[in-house]
Amino acid sequence: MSSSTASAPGRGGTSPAPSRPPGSGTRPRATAVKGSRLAFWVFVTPFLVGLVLFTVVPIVWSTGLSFFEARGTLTPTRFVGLGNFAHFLTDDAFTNSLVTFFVYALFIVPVTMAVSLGLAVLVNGLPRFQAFYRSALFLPVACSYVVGSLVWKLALFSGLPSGVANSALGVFGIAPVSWLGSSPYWWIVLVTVRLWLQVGFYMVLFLAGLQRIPPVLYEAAMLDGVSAGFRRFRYITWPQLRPTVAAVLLLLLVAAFQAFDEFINLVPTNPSTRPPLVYLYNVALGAQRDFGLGSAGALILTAIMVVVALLQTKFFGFSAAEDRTKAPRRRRGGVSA
Amino acid sequence: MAPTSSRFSRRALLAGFGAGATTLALSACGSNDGGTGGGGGGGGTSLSQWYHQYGEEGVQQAVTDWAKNYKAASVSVQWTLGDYASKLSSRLLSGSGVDVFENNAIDPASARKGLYADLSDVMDPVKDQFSEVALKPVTIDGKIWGIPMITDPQLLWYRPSMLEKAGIAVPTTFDELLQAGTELTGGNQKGLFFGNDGGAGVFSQAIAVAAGPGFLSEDNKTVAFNTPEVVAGLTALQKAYKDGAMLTGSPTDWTDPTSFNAGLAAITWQGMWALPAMKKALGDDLGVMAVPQVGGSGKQAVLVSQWNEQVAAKASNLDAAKALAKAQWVDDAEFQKKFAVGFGFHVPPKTATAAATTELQDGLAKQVVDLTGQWGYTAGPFWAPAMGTALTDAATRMLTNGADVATELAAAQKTCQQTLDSLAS
Repeated sequence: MSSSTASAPGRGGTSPAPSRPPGSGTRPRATAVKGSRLAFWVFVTPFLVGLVLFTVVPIVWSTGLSFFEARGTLTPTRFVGLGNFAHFLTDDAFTNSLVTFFVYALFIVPVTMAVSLGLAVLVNGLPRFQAFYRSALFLPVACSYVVGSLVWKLALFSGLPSGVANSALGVFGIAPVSWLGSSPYWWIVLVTVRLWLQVGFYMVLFLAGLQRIPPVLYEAAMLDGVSAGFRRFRYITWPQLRPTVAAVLLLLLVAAFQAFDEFINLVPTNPSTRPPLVYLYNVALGAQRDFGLGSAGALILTAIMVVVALLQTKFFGFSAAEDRTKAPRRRRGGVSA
Repeated sequence: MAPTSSRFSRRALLAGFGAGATTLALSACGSNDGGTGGGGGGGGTSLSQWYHQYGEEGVQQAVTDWAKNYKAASVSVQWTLGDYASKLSSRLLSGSGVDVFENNAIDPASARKGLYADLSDVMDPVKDQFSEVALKPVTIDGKIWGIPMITDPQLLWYRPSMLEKAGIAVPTTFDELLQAGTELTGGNQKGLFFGNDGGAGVFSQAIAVAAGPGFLSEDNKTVAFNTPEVVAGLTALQKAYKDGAMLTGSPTDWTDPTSFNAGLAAITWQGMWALPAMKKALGDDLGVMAVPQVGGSGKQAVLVSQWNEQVAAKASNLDAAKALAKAQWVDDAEFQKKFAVGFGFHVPPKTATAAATTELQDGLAKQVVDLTGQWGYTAGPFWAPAMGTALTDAATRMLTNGADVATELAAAQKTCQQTLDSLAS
């Protein structure tokens, strides 16, 4: 067990070194291209400086600030210990923002997953014009959430009878709806705008997953009598897509946590549709400018996101996906033995 | 030759890339908020003056021209698009990039943390020239932190022709107002437009004022709006919302008169700034009224918002910045008049200037000025944004979720009192 360490090149181990391919030297660095170190730092330094200045320093500063009162200032004013953190335990507005997130995630995650996977399967199966449909469906990803929100608000889901959605309802004799003025209608607006903006991205991820499934699996399935349709998807495609599904699920959850633009543009003052980021924006960067409280809230939210991501990874994530794909083989082996 | 050239090119490329990345990073630290203008003047002193984006055309040109003509310093005008409050706040915190600025929400926390320059030395000798309602928002802890620029009365406007067609008299009581809203609703027309949120944002606050108590007690120690009269007023508003009497989900919100001008609502909540646009679209088919009294102990209400000129405590040249603010908003009455009525309509906070502004001396403009003088209400700086959010949240839940009015109002009062107490500490 210890031989691997003892025999490591250049460590002076006494065990015989493992055989090397002919021509490999004992000083690997000698093969480095001259000037590559300089090039490395030239390329990396600007981004490293940016990372430290705009990410590391603010995180450290924010963490420090969370233990202080700091209203209208970024300078710690009065030490309050865990007071800012304790505030959120009794703050109904914060709790409600988390409820809003869960309601939103409950809609957006499965719907995006189903629609993007369905589109990917359809596009992947197209005999012609696949690139066209792939590009057309991906195009909305290039649109900003602000623009998308304005289009949804001003044209599609305006509360006026002349809005596109209300005009469509009018054809069936249904009275105009104030889409952003009452529940559950605002969820339709919030979910559909994000769906339109993000489904193309996840469709491309699923397409990549579909295209790495070896065709021999489908050929073998065909020989076993599973030729097409839902059974082929269930027994071949879906198990092979598990790692992609796990990645998409994680990305969708994180994206749902980060929901901000469409909410601030479509329903800026409604407490029933205020996700955590909008709530924290109001506390720290909006009119309240309570940076101590905002920093504590940001840390709490980060902790929640980490826990959710870890749980998701544990139950639906990459390792779970691998285990599940291996499990049937072990069972089969046991039976055959 | 070739290897040398190749090596040089690679290094040059790397160096160029590094320089480009650095330039990009540095340029990203700047802002692209709508451009700057002005300049000129002199004396070797440079000042940056910030404005938010006014909706009326011509304002930017007017302030830029004024800056060019100012001789005591070189003034660059920053016309700021988007979320002005947040951008201004970040600049004040960083302590650079803004010397003189307008602000409509002077808050005690920022004043006490030293983000604003104390303008008492500028204002004390002339404060008698300003209206009392204009001085209240800029006065904190006995000091004056801003020079009132414009006051903006907000009240109810209606279409007489629509009321006449429906056989309805101009409402004189709160119940009549909401009843008229219901009766004026039909087809593609709604009776009332208090904002796309049904009035949760501003009209709920107008009810708190029209019912008597206002937001805070006179000494700014106690939250005052939780009374049976306010509960009754908000309950009536809740019923009107439920009955579908309100325009909601309009492409433009109440601050923009487009929906009202287009005939989508018969009665609207609107600021005086929109009077020229409404007159242009509707001619004489326009009337104005204060919010009727709510309950037996209330009084009519006109809400007054305001913009103020302030100086950053960390201004590059504090004396020059104060001199600029004084020259423009204390001394130059002609510019103040032009700013007040040359584009949208506002009321100059200096009483003499307001009296000398002929555009405000007759018609609807005079009615608004008179109503404001009689019923104008401003909350003052201790009505913090967090309190406004608490009341708006409560009203939104009442309207959109049908939440119990008394329970929501009591919860909002509790939140507001906690915030108020924290401001006092």
